Amino acid sequence: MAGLELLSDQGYRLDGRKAAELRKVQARMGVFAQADGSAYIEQGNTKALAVVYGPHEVRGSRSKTLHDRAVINCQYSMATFSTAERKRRPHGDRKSTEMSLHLKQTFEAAVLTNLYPRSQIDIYVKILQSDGGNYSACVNAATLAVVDAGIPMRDYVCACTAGFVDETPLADLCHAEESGGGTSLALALLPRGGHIALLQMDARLHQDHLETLMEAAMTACKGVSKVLDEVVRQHLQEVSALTGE
Amino acid sequence: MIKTEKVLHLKSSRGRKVRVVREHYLREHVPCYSSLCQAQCANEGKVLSGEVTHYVIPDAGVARDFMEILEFREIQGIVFTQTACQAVQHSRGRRQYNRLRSLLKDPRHHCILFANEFQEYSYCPREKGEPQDKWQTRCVYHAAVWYHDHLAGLKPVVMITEDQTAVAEYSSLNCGVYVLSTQEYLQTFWPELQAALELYCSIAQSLQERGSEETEREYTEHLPAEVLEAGIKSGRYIQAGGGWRGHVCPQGWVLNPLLYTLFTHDCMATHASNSIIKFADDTTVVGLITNNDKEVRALETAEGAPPYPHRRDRSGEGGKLQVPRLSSPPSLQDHRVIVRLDSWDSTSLYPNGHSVRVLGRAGELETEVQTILIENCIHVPPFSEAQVGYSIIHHPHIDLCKFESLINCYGMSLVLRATTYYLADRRYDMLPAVLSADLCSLLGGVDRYAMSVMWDLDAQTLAVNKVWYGRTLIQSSYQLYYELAQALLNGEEAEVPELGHISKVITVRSSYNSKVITVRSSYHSKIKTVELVPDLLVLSCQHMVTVIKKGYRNTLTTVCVARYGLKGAVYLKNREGQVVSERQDGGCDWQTGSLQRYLDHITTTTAAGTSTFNLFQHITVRISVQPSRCHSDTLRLEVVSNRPHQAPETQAQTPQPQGARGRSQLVQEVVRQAEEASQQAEEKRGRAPKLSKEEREFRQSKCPNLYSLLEEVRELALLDLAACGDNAIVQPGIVF
Repeated sequence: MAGLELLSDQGYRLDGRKAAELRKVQARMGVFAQADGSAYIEQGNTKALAVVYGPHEVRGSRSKTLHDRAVINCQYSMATFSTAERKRRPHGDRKSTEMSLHLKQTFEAAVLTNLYPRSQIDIYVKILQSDGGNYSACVNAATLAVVDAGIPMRDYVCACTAGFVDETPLADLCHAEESGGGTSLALALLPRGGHIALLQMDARLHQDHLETLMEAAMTACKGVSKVLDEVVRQHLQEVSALTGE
Repeated sequence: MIKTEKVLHLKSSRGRKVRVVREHYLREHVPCYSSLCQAQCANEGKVLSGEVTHYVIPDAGVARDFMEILEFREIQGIVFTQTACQAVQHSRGRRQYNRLRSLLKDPRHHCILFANEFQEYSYCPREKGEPQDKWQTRCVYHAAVWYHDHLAGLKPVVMITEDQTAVAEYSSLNCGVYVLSTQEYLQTFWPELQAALELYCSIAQSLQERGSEETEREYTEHLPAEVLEAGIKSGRYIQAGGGWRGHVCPQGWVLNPLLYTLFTHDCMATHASNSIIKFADDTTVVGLITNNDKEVRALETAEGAPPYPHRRDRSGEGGKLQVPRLSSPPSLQDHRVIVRLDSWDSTSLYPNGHSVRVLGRAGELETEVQTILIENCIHVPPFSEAQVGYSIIHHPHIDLCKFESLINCYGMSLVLRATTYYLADRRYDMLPAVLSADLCSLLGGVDRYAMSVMWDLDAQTLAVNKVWYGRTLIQSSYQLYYELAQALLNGEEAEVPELGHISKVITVRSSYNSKVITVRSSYHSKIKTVELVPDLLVLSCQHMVTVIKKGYRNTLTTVCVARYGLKGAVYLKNREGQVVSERQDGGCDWQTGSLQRYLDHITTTTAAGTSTFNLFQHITVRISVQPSRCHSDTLRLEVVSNRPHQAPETQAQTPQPQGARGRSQLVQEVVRQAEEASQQAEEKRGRAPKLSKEEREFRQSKCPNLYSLLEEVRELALLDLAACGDNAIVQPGIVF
């Protein structure tokens, strides 16, 4: 290919979206009956599955127990079939560990851990298909799963990526846009208060553009939060209809 | 928005084929960029007008191969589909794609881009097993149908394609949407545009030849070097051209204008455009062995044939561009043709190309003029009616100073044509004739806006007293014409009312300084000199200057021009060994002689006599601007006279002998400046930050060091000891 044109002169991206449009988000909660909370989300072609166990007693070493709040334990992994070429090592490689750590930090900011001292909450996320925005999909799925598990949170945690091409910020990058080597900013936001739970940027960006890029990412996150909210309400309706309330 | 998917087969970075699934979002509202839009599309920017007879939608193949025909400005109403643009991008590369993009952005070309693949109703997903070009044609056809329906049938839409089956299949499916081949289209809709049809024919022919070339290869390729070596060692091949002697005389015959056979006694083609493939006895050249600058050939001889000869050094022909192989009809024999190169096969000696335009017979005046213009990348299309008309209506008094309004009026064409070209027999103006000859031209007796330079000349000496630049309203009392100006420049007798003797004197004084001044824009207050036509306007001035210091070199002197605060160097001895010597009337010229330097004066001795230039003496120099190709313009000072220049400007004070007064003033000023300079130096030294501990530790050299010592020695050596007398302690002076 003679170079990918990430933003055409008419304002269309590679897949036909305009610069500020998000990919199609579809989500379901309560997909696993055996776990305390579970959710499945599809953000474009990126598919993530999140499962939450807890809060329960600390398993393994008792030394990890915190006397006043709950310990959040996250694990991130990718399925071997999630990328175009078969992935050799789904767990334990550096990328996965880093992602797990990020998820832990994100949810420690959002979950009201003070209500559950001396306990542990497990969040497991698995990427079933990867097409850009892995971290965002994980965070969104985990949010829904935590809501499904009934663990109280300060606010939804919504995440989205943003990029910068030709002086224009692009929201919700797909894999082709991410891997081009351009700037890619991942933002996890608590939308109601506008609090940032995590901010991560790859590649270089001129200082002057940072404001614009963050604005674009925040707007995108708020868009995602609306979708998640919708999903939660719909799920509640279904559940309450089933139980006849 | 609807989300679909498209499947692509790409090559990964490692070269393996990867099947990639990408999302594809379709939407309902894709702007059509036509002024006839019935559905209120958000058409911003360039919009196709409704005044054309039809809209034309080229297929992917046509956009790829025949883009040059679509670049003709006469063809209007072109709708490029996204499919066609992507086909150009992927097959032709970034350069062609950027050309297409600039075409789409250019307001002079009447074409737009329609994103058919993102429109919900004009998108066609690729069917299983459908070849790519068929799918692209289908996409473009559906886009054409959608476009026609979107405009509610107000404008017929013509799709052009090279695929004959597509023409047959689609042409009768929808009324209002016509499908034609490119040639039919050009013949039917643009019969008067002969150039387009010719271009089409030449491109089509070259494409055909290229296609056929690749299929049949009459001669096998040259073998690789290892095979040749092995063959020579084993005796199967014979190395020729490297040590054989033979004595066969060249014979041969011509088979057709491009192919002939020749027996050669040394197996070498004497010209790079010939290449020897086979000899008469079926000896075939199978490979080339290059041995630095000597080229030898390896030959495979038929059975029993005698070996061939002759060592011959072969020097390279040196980078001449070979004429590309055209489908040249013999009618192009003595003509000049503009040719565009398409490709260069690695196996071929020449590139492939096609002719774009025939300029005419070689040797005719018009042809040669066009050739020269094109060689120098000068394009002079005529101004469009719109541009001329607009300018007259909206700017009856064109103020050339308002550069930006001109830009708005003419757009890009002015920027590209910001100069007038003068040829021997004609002139290509940068503005339409209406403007350049009338509205913007200084006609006699008519008011005009102008950007002016006003010189205040002294009546007697014609020295420049004052210079002023600014915008003016001029009513010229006399209009000079070129022949008169040229006559004046040549020094002939010419009568110019009002100008009189000024013109003659100025031309004599500044023969090689004549330049025409053009003002680039009102934003730049600098005047830029452009050498275009030697004209009467000249810039040359003479000023009173003072010799203030002598430099170290024998050949020059530093002077200070008090009026302008200029300090510069003036040469008293030039490269040929001539020195400046004074004449009887006070003027100076160059003669062979010698030059001596003393502490306070320089004397030049020639056959005519001796002249002395003292320190603080007032002399007269001429200041001129010396342009240079590589460097910025510099000021050049040349000695004109040894006597002070009688500047007539006298202040309303007591008329003292100006020389003396000026001199003393100058001495005071110089002394004062020197004091100030030394004071500042002291302050700086006091203020200078102390070197840090590290710097002090690692500083390389401490003063005084060897370098400064050697410098002093050098300066001493340059000093003229004969004039110094005994125990002269010479201090190195300051050269400005």
